[in-house]
Amino acid sequence: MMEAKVQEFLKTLQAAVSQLNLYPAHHPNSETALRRGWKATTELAAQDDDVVIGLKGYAFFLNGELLAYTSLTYANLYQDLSDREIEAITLAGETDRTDYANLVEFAAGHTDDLPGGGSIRLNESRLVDGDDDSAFADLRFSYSGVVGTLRTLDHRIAREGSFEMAPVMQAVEELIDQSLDASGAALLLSTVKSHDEYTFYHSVNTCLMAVATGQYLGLTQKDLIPIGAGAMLHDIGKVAVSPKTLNHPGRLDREQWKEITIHPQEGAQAIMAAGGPGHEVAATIALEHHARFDGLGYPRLGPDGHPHLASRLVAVSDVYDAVTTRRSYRRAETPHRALQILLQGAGGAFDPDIVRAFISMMGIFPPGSVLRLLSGELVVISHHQSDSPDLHGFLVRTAAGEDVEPEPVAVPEHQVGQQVLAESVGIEPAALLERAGVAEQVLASSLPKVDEGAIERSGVDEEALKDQAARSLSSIVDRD
Amino acid sequence: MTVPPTRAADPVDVFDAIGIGWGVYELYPNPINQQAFLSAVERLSVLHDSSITFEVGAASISCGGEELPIVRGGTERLSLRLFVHEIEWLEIITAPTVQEMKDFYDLLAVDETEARQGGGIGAALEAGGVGSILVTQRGLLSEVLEKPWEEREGESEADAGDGGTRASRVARMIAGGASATEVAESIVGEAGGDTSEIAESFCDAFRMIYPDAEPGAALDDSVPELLNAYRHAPRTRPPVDTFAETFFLLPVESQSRVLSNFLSHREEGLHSLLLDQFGGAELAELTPHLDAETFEELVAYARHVVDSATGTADELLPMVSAARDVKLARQSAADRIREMIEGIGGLGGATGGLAGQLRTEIAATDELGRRLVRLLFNIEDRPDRFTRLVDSWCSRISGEVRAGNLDEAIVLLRIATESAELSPTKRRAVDQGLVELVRNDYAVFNDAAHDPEHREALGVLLGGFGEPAADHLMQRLSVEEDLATRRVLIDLLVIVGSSHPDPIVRFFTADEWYVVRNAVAIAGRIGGEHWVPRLRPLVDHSDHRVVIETLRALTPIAPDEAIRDLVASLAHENPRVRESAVLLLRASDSPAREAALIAALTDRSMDPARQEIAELLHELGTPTAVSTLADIAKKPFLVSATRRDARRVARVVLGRAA
Repeated sequence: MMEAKVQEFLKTLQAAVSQLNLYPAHHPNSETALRRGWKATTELAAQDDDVVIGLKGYAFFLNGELLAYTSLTYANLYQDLSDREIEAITLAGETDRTDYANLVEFAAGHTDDLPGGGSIRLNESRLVDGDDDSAFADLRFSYSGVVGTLRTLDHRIAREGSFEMAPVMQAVEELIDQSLDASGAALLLSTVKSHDEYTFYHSVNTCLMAVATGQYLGLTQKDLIPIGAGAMLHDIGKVAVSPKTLNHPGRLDREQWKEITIHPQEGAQAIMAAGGPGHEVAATIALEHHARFDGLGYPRLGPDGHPHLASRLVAVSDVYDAVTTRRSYRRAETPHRALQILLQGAGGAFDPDIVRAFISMMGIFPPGSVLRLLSGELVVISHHQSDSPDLHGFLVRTAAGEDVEPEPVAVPEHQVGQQVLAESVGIEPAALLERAGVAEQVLASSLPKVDEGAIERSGVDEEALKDQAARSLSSIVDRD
Repeated sequence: MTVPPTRAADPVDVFDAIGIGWGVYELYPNPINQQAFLSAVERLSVLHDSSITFEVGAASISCGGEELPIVRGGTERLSLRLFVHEIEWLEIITAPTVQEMKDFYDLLAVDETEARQGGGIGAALEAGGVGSILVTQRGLLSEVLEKPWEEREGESEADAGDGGTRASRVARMIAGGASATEVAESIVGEAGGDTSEIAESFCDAFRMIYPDAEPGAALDDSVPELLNAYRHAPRTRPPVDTFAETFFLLPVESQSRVLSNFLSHREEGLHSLLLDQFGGAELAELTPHLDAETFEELVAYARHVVDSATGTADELLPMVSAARDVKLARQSAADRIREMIEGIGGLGGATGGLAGQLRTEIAATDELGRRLVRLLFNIEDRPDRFTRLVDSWCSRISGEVRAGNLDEAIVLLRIATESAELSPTKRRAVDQGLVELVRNDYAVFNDAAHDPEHREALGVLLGGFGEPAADHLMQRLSVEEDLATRRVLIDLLVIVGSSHPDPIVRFFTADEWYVVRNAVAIAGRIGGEHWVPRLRPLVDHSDHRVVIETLRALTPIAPDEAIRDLVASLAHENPRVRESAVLLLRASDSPAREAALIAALTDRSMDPARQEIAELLHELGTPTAVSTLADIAKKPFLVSATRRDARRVARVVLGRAA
């Protein structure tokens, strides 16, 4: 609950700083942002003791406790506050509105007078014992960096209609650098969901999974960069779609649907206009990520048109992440349901070879799966170990429903009772990576090697699978 | 099996309504809140006193032997979904309620394997109390499951071989795969309707199946064996599902006792496992039947689940959402996924070759770029975006020219200029884009024009730009004051004009003499006999500079035809023209020159040029020319003044030579 309040505080602070950089302090937009921020601050400060938000090592801390998701989500704000040499924000009792306005002015760089002595004090109290020195910090920071890049990109395209490719490629390259050395952790990290900034997080998750798939297939970093850039930018054309249409909770009418279906070509053109090395692959991916393997989907690629192999690769990761994320118009599905959808679409919507590789890499229970064992405990699958048939993860809740400090477990498959939606049981799988000992163990894991013999024919009716896919898939994923 | 009689209702309309309902169900998490869903069910009210039966085929739906037209996406998807579930007959025996339709769709949405393993949709409908809809499924599994549970249990390894206690019999039923209906009937029947005993049997059976639920509880000897058998029977679903469904088939009083029992033990063993199966709405329905203590337990449980220290039952229960959200995810996921993974083994080739293929395709960036442009040119229909696309495409062409990749630039150019699929509007935008390209980047093309290696390719490229581009260059040339730039433009126009002469011809009639002269110069450099009829009228142009340029242009293009104009120009009023004509005639090697000069020598209209003609003939030095001069020089008596003048100049020329 407290972490949610901190997130609201930081979100509104970020918004207020942005508004103040765009408008004068007395502009209605600035005043609205200040009012919202002050409200969030007041709610956070309504505790018996002072609330100290610490900043150290690219991470936020609340009264000395690492805030995993907050650090991931607000890396940009962290950077802004760090640039202003803010190391701690103390909320001391009931918050004064003027103090809040002073904080925003200082954070926005409009004044160099460090607020002190009031209800909001800067750098008075630390309460942070050490950095976030977990092995996973670098990957988390790269993730946040890419989200930040996308955010900037989005604003820039909306404002100027164009963007530059170089920062994108640099961010992707950094993320790939980090994820190649920690592919297991990258897959777990890709379960991070954001409902406010769905497209940004979805894009980075898609990027991480597409890169992992490429790595699994044997591609080198050089090959992966344009694919990663394409995955990251595949939905960039959505900037041209109104948020109202994007988040429309019901069936889309003809005009709304038309608006949605335009985003691939919109994105491809923006990337083409940006140019730069690798933009051809990235633009192709953006154009074709909704074009199906069988030639259907959108946009139609012509009578003999099939999506490029790189597009087919990214499409699988795209759908997997989209299906496992709750949207305003449909519920989230479990990872195994997402795999089923991919399998049903193999040969129809998706390239069967890519699906096969993807599932071989992800495993039957992909990292981030939350499983209820027959004995009642909840376990989060964190990684795979190629030398072990068991499922590797962390026990997070006892059969009695009690949350516990994550404890590594190796679960035989036959002990799995059911797979549950992480959000329905209040678990954030990627947050596990912030726990002591978890990151090290996951980082030590690696992607399994391609084993051609592992998947053999079994006589399942391929045509039935394809039929199902053709009929049922579109309503699930075409809008994403 | 024969088809039951169908009455009254229009089958097309009924199936359409069911299809619409399915479509809404697919789209909305809470379809029963959607007006379209309610309307669809309302349409089924025509069945309040009749029934209708549909036969489900591979890609068809029939009623009374007549195949129905499938006109909507929803009905098409529904028919397929029915087929996937191996439903042979779908019978609506009376008007279903909204909830019944929702329940029916819930079952259709379940994975077909899971549905069959759960006893089939028909059994589930019956168990769920949906009386208005009947289905008959094909398939061995559903036939097996239609047998009484005792028969199935007899086939199971899990048969304990004795009757055991009431609870152990229930536990065995569940482990043996009995449906919730069967279990509920058994519990209620054996307890003789006693709600307390019903609840007790239920709770005891649960603890037998899940021994951890009550640590230290005495177990029936047969249960561990049953449990073991269950865990190794991949097609049997988790017993907690059967317990959860059975719960709702018990009398309400028994339900409240069970709930009370489980809530009071919720922190022990696996009691929460059952509680977690219930959604808040389901629990809320039971609250009127709970005593105060159990109610408080329920609120405490809800607080625990939603992680809230405060809140009333009304606030908390709606937030309890474990069970229904994960309904689809129940069952042993591993088995289903594995089956499908194995199935996909046959769908494609080896993944090992993918990396190589990817690497090759990614590396071919030129090809990829061309493909991208081609696709976008065909796909993009919005005028403003198409213009932006053309700009981007032009930049690519310019970039390739700048990099010296003229062949690639030509390939890129042809993507649009040779596409048969471009609409006239798009084609105009392409032409305009190329004009802009020429306008902005002509220096780039000029650089290329000065590289002999690129000249031919540049000709092809600029030729491909089309007439509007040539027209633009001509206009630019007409106003350009800088000499160096004019030269550049002329160089480019020489290339462009070879395939698009009309813009150049249009400038032959310009008002400004220098514009006409430049156009003529370009035509001359391009060459070709087709220019002759267009150039010749300019020999009579009012400005002598145009005339000179025209003579220069014509001479190499049509040497013989030009002779006539050159000779005539010897008598031009402007001395510069005359000089030029002399020079050009001297340089000419046309066989027509001699005859033309001989004829001109005694032509009255050539009086002012007689001397030059004689000089030229003498310089020509051919026997005919020399003898012509000599003959006329020897003439003693001539009547015509023209001929006398000719004799005079011949004598002068010959005398000077002597």
